[in-house]
Amino acid sequence: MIDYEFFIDQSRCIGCQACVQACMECDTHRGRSMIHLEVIDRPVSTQTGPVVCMHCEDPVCAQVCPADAIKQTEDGIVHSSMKSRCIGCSNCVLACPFGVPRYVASIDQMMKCDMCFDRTSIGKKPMCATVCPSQALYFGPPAEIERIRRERPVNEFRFSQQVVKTKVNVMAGPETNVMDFDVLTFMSGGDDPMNDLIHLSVWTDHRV
Amino acid sequence: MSSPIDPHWKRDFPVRSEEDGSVARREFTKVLGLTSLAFLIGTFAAAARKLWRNVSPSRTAGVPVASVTEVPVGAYKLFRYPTENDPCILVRLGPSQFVAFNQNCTHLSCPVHFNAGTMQFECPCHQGFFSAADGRPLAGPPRRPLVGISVSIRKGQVWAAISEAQTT
Repeated sequence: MIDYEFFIDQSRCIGCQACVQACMECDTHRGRSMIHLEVIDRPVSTQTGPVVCMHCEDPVCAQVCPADAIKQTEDGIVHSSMKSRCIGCSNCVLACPFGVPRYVASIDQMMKCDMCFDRTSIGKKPMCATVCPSQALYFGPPAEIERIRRERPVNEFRFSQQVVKTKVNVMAGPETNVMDFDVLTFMSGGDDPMNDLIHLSVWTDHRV
Repeated sequence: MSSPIDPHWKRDFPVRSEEDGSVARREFTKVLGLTSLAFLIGTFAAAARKLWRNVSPSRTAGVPVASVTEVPVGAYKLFRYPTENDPCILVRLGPSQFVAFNQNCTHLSCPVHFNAGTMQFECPCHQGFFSAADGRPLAGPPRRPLVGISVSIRKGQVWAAISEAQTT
């Protein structure tokens, strides 16, 4: 199971919310989903995209945590904040380039996806990947994904100068080796439809 | 991932949990268990050593301290035994009764003096008093008796001896 990896193919997502419901049922955070199902641009498209924690090799959320509440274990999993340490400052929420951590005001603590550590640590698949009917979320051996998909898994992202390598892979076009984002273009405004995307995914919670 | 150029607070609070210096419960329990085990073994070793000594008491030959005629009744003689750093006092209480003690007061190791009038040892430092007959404390700060030296009379000589168990 150690060589199993997580693959996300946003284009296969059908927006069924099965992953969200499955995540909610988990005993470790009952009633609250750690996976975000983002609505991309509802007026013009039905496309949705699941967002799990990408588990960065050098997690920015943990680097900016002033309370040492976010830890990365040997297997590369970046864990949710520790209850006894998290001070609810939301530094991680603002720092994460993927918009994964969420501040939960009712318990004054950040909560995020930990790739179902209770399951993956004993050899089970993450809950969301087991229920996804279209295999937009896939957890399995890299050789298998190479065999059944024509997209290429990418785990390197560039946000202008910042290069982020992640444990979780995103399925991209066959020629793509790295996901390149020009942050300044997103921030400058204008008519670029991608602006809506970045606004939606970063600042609003579209969970139904 | 912390590198040597990181500020020390980053080394103290690393992101990766395996770099964290905090002790896991399992390690702590292990240290606790092994330490107790070491103490247990040490205790049994000390007890066994003591038992072995008791089973085979080997007395040293002793040394001649004085001739019987040299010390009149009620008088004393200072000597050093078993080493030059152990001042001792020999007292003749009766015609055939000799006692000897280590001169160190059991309170703070001042040398005790013999008072023939009261038949007591006196420590001038803090007014400690010991019985000359058996060395037990009578008054003052000391609570333990003076360390005794066994005395025997052979061929007109007073011999002081100390059993090996007493040296430790």
